[in-house]
Amino acid sequence: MAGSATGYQTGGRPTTGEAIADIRDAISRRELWMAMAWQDIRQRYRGSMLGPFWVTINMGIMVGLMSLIYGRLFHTPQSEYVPFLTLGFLSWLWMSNTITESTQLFVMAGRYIKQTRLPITLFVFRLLARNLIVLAHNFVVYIVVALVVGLRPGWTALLAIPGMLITMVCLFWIGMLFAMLSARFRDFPQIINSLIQVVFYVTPILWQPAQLGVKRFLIVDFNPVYYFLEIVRGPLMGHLPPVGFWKLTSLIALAITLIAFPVFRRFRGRVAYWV
Amino acid sequence: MTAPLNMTAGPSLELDNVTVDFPIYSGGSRSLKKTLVSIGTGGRILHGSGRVSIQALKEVSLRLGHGDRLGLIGHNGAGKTTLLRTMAGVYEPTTGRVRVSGRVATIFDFELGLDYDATGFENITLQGMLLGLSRRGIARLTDEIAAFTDLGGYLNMPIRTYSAGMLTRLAFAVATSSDPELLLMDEWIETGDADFFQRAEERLRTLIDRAGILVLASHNMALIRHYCTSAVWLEHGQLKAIGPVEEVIEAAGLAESKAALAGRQELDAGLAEYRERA
Repeated sequence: MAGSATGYQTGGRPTTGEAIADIRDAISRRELWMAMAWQDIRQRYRGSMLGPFWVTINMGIMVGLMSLIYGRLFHTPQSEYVPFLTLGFLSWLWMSNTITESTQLFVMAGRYIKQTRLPITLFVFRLLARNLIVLAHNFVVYIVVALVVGLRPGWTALLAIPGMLITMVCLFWIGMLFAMLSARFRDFPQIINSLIQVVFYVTPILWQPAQLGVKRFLIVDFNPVYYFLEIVRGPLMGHLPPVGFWKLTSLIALAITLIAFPVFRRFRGRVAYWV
Repeated sequence: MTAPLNMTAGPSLELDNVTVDFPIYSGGSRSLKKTLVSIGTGGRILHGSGRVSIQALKEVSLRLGHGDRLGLIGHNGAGKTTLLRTMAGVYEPTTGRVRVSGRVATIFDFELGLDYDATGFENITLQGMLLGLSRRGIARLTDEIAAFTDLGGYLNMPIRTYSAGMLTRLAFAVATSSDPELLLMDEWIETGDADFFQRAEERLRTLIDRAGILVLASHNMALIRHYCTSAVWLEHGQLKAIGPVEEVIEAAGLAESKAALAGRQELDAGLAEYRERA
C-alpha cells in the first residue's frame, strides 16, 4: 500500500487545531471512507447471491419469529407490536453494532494507520457510513411491515431524521473513544460486549414500557438508550416523543462530545503506537 | 543535508532533535481492569507497571530540501523503518519536531492493504484513493495504470486469482502513479520477471526524478548507490554518519558485501541490456 499526505508538523504538545484538522481532513476525504464502507459491506457478503440484502432477510426472519413469540407472550395486538418491535430492533442493532464494531476499529485498521498518515477520524466516519448502509438495508423490513399492518406515519416520520443526527453525534464520539480505549486496553472490547448484551434486555425493545407498570421509572426513565430509541422509533411509528426527549438526547450528545474531544485531542497521535 | 536557503520554493523535510520511544506494554498494562485496580490501590497491586519503553530514534536531526536523494542504511532494527514512518507523520515524535511541506507519498510495503476479494480495477480505485486521488483523478489514470500492469482482462477478476508477480505489477503500478514532491520508500520489490523489472525501474526512475526529495531505506547498497546522492547510517536509533553515499557506506562497513556486490552487478547488467534494447 502506498499513501499520501500534504504538509504536516508532528511533535510538540497536541493542540486543538490539530484535532480539528484531523476531522476536517477526514471529511475532505469522504470518497475514501465511503469506498471503504462499501468495501466492508461487500466483503461481508461476497459470494452470496443476495449480497447485502442478506441483512434485510435476516432482519425479516428475526422480526417475524420474535413477533410471533413475544406478541403472544405480551398479549399485544400484532398490528401494534410488529412495527414497534421492527423499529426498536433495527434502531438498536444500528446503535449497538456501531458501538461493538468501534472496539475493533483501530486495531483492524492498524495496517493503514502504520503505513501512511491518515486522519484517524476517517476510520470513525467509515464505521458510521458502514452501519448507516446496513440500517438502510434493514429499513426495507420496516417499510414492508408498515405496508402490511397499514401503518401511515405521514410527515411525522421525517422527524426521525433529527433524532438520527443527534444519535450519530453520540455514536461518532463514543466510537472514537471506544476505538482508542480498545487499542490501548485489550480487555476493553469484552467489557463493552458484555455491557451491550445487558443493555439490550433492560431497554424497551422487545417489551413496551407500559408493561412494566409502576416500576417503569427505575429501569426505563434512567436508561439513556430509551430516549435515543424513542427519538428514532417514535416518529416512524407516527407519534412524536415529548420535546424533552430531544432536549435530553441533545444534552447527552453534547456531554459525550465534551468528554471525548479532549481525549481525542490528547491521544490522537498515540494511536499508531498502540495498534 | 544541503539545506536550500530558499525555503519558499519546493518541498522540504525537517527533523529537529527527534526522539521516538516505543512503549512496551507488559503484564497488566494492556488491561483496563488491572490498570484501574492499580490506580485505585495507588499502584500497589500491579507490580512492574512502570512504563517501559524502547528508544527507537534518539535525537535525530535532519534537513532535506529540493533535489536531495537520501539513503537510509543500517542493520535490521537500527531504526530505518521507524525513521521513515516518523518522516511520513505516522509516528508522532515523543520529543522534537518534524516539519514537512509538500505532497508526500509513502511506498512502504505496497502490497499491503490490497483487497484480495475485489477485482483489479476495484483495487486500483481504492489504492488510488489512499494515495489521495479523487475518483475522477483515478479514472483518468486507470488506462495508463492498466496498460503498465499488462494484466488485460485479469483486471476484471478478483486479485486472489493473481500470481505473486501479477500482484506486484498491480500494486507497483498504482503506488507509483501519483506525483509526489516527497517520496519515502522502504526496500524494493524483488519479485517479478526481468522484463517487468526493467519497466518498473524505468517507471520508478521517472517518479523519483519528478519528486523533489527522495528518502530510500534499503539493505541493498547497489540500490542506495543507484538512486541516492547522500546517505545516513543509523545504528540503535542514532545517526552514526551522514554525508555522500560512498563515505557513509564505507563508515558503516557495509561496502561491497558479496550479496550487495552481486545485486549491484545484476542491476547494472540489466540496465545495460535495457539501454541497448531501447
